[in-house]
Amino acid sequence: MDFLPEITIPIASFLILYGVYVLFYLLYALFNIYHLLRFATATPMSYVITFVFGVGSIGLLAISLLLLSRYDWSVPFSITAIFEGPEGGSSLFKL
Amino acid sequence: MINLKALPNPRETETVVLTLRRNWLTVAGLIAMFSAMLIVPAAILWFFNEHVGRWLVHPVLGPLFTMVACIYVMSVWLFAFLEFTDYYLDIWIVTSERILATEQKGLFNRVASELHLAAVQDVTSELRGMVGTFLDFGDVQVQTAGEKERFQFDNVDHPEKVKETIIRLIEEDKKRHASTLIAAMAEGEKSPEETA
Repeated sequence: MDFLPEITIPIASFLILYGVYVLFYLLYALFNIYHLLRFATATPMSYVITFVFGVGSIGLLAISLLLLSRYDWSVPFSITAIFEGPEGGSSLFKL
Repeated sequence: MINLKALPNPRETETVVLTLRRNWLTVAGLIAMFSAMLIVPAAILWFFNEHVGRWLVHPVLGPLFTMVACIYVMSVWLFAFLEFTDYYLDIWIVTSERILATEQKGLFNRVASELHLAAVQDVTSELRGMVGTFLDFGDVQVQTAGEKERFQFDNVDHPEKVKETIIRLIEEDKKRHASTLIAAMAEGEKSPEETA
């Protein structure tokens, strides 16, 4: 596709999406914990559930950060390659 | 055990008799659904492990694939917790004087209702289906004298026993009110003599 200029962005741009998602996750989790602690009629079970969820969330966040940190995020990503497809010989589709 | 002070408008003479939530099958269903949401994609990835292995080492697809997978797993964990909170916050409390119903509808809607036992006119229990009959869980409906919407306890354990307990509490409440009324009337009859 000659009419398209070659546009490349570092794949680190996608980390913005990940960051937005983590913010959304934290917001929802905090709302949920607030509901549980505020309205769960002060049973010890509500604290146990909150603790399990908190530990699970921290664990998942840590694992995801660990997995994502193993990649080189400075690799350029060619937007033009999406339109070219596998025949275009782009780096994106060469598996 | 429910802390009495945590109840809305706590009364000194009141005792909590029943604390009801939906049957454990509700939680089991949630666990099964969210487990399937993790196990099925994991099984598909394992089945296509050769392709997945190549995607993971690809300089562009690898990080994107990992990121999407992480977001998916975290979303399942988050929504499982949201659903569990929804279940956990739906609670019906029967005290010696009233019935309190609290229902969480999504994250931002919450309905709390209170009904005095004196206003109850009819209590109905309902067991439905084979599973409900075998595991002894079903619905209990509490109808008031007015045109108010009736209280419904959904999928609670031992609905028949719950119904009997509520009827017993209503009778006790009536007796208590009657004796209070008689005592008040007796007090009222005495007072003119005392003043004379």
